[in-house]
Amino acid sequence: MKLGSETKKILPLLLLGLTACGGGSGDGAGTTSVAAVDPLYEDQWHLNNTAQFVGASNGEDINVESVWGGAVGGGSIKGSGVLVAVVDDGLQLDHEDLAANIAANKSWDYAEGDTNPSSTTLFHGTNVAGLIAARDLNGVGVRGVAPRASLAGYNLLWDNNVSTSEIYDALTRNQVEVDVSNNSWGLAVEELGEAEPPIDTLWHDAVEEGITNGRDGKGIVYVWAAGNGGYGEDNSNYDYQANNRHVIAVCAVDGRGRQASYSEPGANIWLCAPGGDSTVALGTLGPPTTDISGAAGANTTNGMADDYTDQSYTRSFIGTSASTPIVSGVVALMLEANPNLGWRDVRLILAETARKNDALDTTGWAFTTPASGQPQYNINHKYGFGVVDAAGAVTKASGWNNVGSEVIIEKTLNMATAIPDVDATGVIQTITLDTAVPAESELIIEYVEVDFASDHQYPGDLEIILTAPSGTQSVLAETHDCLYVGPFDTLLTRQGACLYKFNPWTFASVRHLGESSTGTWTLQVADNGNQGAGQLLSWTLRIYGRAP
Amino acid sequence: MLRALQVVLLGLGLSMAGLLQAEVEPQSGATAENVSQQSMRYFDGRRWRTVWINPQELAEFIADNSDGAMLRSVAPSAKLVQQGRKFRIWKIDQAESTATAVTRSLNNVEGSRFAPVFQLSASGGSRMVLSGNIIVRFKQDMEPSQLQQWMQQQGLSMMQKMSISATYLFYAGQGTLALEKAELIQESGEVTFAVPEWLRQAYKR
Repeated sequence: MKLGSETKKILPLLLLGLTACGGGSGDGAGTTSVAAVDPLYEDQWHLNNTAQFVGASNGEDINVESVWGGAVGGGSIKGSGVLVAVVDDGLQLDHEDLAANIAANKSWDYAEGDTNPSSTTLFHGTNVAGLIAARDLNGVGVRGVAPRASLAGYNLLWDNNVSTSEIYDALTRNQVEVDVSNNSWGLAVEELGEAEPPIDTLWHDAVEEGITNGRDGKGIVYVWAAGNGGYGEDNSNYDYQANNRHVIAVCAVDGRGRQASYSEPGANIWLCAPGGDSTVALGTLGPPTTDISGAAGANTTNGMADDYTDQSYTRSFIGTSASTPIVSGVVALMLEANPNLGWRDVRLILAETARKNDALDTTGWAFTTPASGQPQYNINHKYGFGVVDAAGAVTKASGWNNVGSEVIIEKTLNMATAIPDVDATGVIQTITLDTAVPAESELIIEYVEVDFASDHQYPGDLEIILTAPSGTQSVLAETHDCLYVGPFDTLLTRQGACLYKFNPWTFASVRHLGESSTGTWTLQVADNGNQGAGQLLSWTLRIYGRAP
Repeated sequence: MLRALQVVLLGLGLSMAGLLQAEVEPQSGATAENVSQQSMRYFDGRRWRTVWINPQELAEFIADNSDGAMLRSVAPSAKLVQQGRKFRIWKIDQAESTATAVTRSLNNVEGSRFAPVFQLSASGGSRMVLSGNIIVRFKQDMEPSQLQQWMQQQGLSMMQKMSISATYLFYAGQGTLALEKAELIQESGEVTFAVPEWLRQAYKR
């Protein structure tokens, strides 16, 4: 589908949770023993979905209760001993449901240069933190996925303008102690369909530093929101942070386990978690979490109509901002079960144990073709490997043997070729990896990148598909309009040229996980639009993996 | 100071009579949509990039108790397009050349407070503002005395040592000084990289 010349910009209103939903115990009253100690637990459909709300379906949750209960992982696992950094706009350290889990003197306030990032107005980070590690069994509020994990708040986004050095600092601060870095933010402007290049290399340098030297060399696990531009035709692969191989890009599903209306697709997406949704038909259903205490915050007097009467909590928080900390919480559980996991091990376990969701999406799901001895993965352009499964991940983590060293294969084809305009076949080029060449020895694939260079003035016209030797396909770019924000917040279509070309642009794919690198890789570039023309200049295939 | 700015602007042909009533509500739109002809280049850590100065926008760093009076005094019809806590960005409703002249004038007269707004495309894009700092990675760790000598030669002052090895944040100056200084240092070949530090908008998801 291509957007018309004008598209109403609805994302901000929906993400602010302005539509009320029906059902649910708005006052948090509960009757079970669990509810008695965490009064709003009954409403936490993302932890235990009993279809308690309109728009929620039984079982569409992250399957975590057995982890806390000790049925898996060799005892009760709640994230104890694991430190999660919340890189966001603040964190209320004295919140009644967070205070017990705050790591002493590990937070940072970029506004004042001290260790208290609490805010009386900025609430996003406190919403995020509650989903990760709101304290359990304390008689108040909600429960986090990892309710005994420790939290540090870095209020990088205390101002909406961030500096390069602050970004670097926030991603590497306390790097020996920090196990998980939760990032429910990004630099890309969403919905516009533009691949804006990084302004410098410092963000890349920071995450590289974190995975190389963080956590005593095991690597900080960076969990990153895949993006909320799904209302338009945005794609997470046009976002250089979400499509970086060092981060776990997280998409969002609604209470029925289906793609949330805002959640961006992309071949780079690793997996999804519940992020809630807000639609006219179903209302707003966000995963209940902590909010800054008092009348300010997400739960305001003028906010969602039936949000909690106790304004220290909210269920209006939705987005990939909400799904991301749920995965961070699961990673915290995994790292308690097995602290020796490296950052690549965590990713592999999450993929292997993700639950195939949305059975109605019969055309979206595919299977990988595994190399010998490797597991087969379900894969979906909208969902990555599926929805995170805490019990599966912790069980797998407990007995996991770390994978071997990472190996990289890289090969470039420089053969400038005109891309036929308005032609669905387009240009087809191949790169063959031959095991007879030492530098091209077979790898078990963990991640694939394509450095793509084209002088096409309107890259939104292009559909780019990478096909592996196995036949598994990755749609790297989809034909779409490039948009800009016009008067009255209306999205308008750019004519003639997008702001940025794919020249170069690095695309990513997770869809070949566990497959063999050996054989012929095919890149098909088709110009399905009528906004411009250009050439495919070159492409580089880069495969990250390990020896069989 | 105010009188001096008015004199400068009048000298550039601006009509003060038509420049009253600055808007106070930020306009929506995450990106700028102005076409620019004026470009500069900088090294991004791996390669050279081109940036364009947005001719119709101006960043004002926010000092304590600042209310934008300085900007309003020179361009009262300016519209606030982005409000942050570190700086705000104004759109100056003037012809391209005049607005650029405003930017230059403010940089000269009140250089510590105003800065040009850049974008990565000539046709628009995310707004980028120079912090005044540059990030330098040396080819190897420097002895304190070596570092001191180098800073004196370059006219820089150290803000902090970054956690990555041999990498420092230095203050170079407002306006386009950081861009120009970083370019000179990069071209000297003495360092691994010298990158101007940018401020840009981030988005919660």
